[in-house]
Amino acid sequence: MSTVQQLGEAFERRGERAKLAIMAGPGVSWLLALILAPTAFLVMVSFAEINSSYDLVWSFSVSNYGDLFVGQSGLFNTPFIDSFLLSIGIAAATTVATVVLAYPVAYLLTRLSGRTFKIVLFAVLVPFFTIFIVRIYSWLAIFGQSGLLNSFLLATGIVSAPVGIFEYGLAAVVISLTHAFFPYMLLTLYSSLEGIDYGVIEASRDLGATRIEIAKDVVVPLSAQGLITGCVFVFVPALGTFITPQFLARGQFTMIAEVLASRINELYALNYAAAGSLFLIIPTLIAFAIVMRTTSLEAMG
Amino acid sequence: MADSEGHGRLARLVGEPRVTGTVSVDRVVSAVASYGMWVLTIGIIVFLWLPLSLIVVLSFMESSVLFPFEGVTLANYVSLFTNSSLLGAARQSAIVATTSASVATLLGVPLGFAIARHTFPGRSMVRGMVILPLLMPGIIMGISLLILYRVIGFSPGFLGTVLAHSVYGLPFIVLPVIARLAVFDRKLEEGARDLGADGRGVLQDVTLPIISPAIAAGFVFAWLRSFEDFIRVFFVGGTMDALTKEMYGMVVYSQGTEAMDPMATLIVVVVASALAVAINLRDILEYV
Repeated sequence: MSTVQQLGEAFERRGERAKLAIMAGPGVSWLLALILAPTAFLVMVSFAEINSSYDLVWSFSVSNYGDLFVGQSGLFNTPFIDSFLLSIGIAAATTVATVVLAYPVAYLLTRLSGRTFKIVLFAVLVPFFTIFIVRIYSWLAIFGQSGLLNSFLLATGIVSAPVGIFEYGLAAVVISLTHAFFPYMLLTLYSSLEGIDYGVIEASRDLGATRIEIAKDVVVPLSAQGLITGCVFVFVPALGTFITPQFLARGQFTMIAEVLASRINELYALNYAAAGSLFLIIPTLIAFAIVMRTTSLEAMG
Repeated sequence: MADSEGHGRLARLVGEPRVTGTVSVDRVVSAVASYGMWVLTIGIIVFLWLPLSLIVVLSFMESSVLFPFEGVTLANYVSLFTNSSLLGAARQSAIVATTSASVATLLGVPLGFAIARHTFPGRSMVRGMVILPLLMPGIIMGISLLILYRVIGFSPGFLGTVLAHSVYGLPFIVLPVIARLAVFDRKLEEGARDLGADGRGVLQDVTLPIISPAIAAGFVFAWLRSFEDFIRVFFVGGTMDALTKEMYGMVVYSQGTEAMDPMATLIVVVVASALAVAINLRDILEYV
């Protein structure tokens, strides 16, 4: 290979690299500057202290974490831990509820076509595109002492006093979160069920498998990827939800996002909030690892 | 997602009579499953629509609850259209959403091309990073950016929100572009090149027209996500107005609540009409 050729190729490679830098550079720097750097910074701040004039003082102190874990009545007995555990429970209940509700609908959607398909799709997608705060707000008039459920039960004489479960609280939060996140689960499940080669189901049927066996041994395993992705995309945002408990728990309990927000707004305790944020960052990273292992990006469009 | 006829594939085959009618129990299960699925689906549609329809009904009511019934009125709509701070906030949110989605598109389309068509060191890491804004809870993004802005002395506001929302919208552009390019038939580009088109011509007349529906859908998603976001703008919006901040204040501090139901109703009506048009125009499931 002559020197001129080598030089030419080197220039071409450089041109290619420059082109690539122009294409990917801005987007990647956006991600680095606005996602990775702030998150790394947050972790650093979680070890910092705040002085009396609310400035951050860099140090390596674990006192912020101590504040999270050690309460006046002992280790792990703090409002933060309570909120964290409660949030995990609420997110888990929401995830299970969306799976149970979305699986049959997703399966039915794969069997429909034409006009019926469009109508069912429309019916499930309108709530999805209606902005989140409206979806959560829409449950406000249903729950509560004078909400639709209780006033209906009282007016018809079925009960004589408002029913506790229909007042604001745990049930209202889980139901409204299920309502808000149901479409995420439906769409991921639908896309994975839709990708199943029907020949496989036909073959197992020909070999004598019953419907239940087909569902258990063929459909569920083949749609497992969509199921896992769907669970992640419901669980993580449900865990970090702020508006939902603000609207529908009405002070009966606080979820983790509310604890973090109130620390910042009321006490300006950035360091404490940063330490608490780690309890949402770690689940996010676990979810991220799961998604990266199970899903190809090409399939995520 | 697969071709528009894809969902017909399962449908055709499920409908076929069974060759081996082994046990009648299985037939019963199959019939129950089939009806059960319809009953459940209709039940879920009712569940999804019930609260939203109640809002629409309440927006025309004299009192803020159904019982006792006090009469029908348009007064709530009057209070919406005379509530200048709410309307101003809606306008401000639309400006933020449009700016953020545009920035996300300008950054995301080339990034999608780079990931889909080039190999470079750290490519798989970049691919992974792209989904982070999608997964990261809003409160983490809000708090971490707030802290960063404070330390570098950048005051929260319009620009701070646009920066946050543009990175939040990035996956909605990059992922559909990657997905679309993955199934793209590159012979079309080769053909155009053989017919004498240069690199720019191929991109302009062949590649972009084919992937532009994916970009447009991504833009709509990025726009909506910005428009509906509360927690990020709560932390990095400073004193800037935003529709969600106004609505939050109305609910939590019970101020001007009568405008809330008509506002929500308008949003439901706009979304429903836009979606009805979109579903009839093309196979929108390809883009969600």
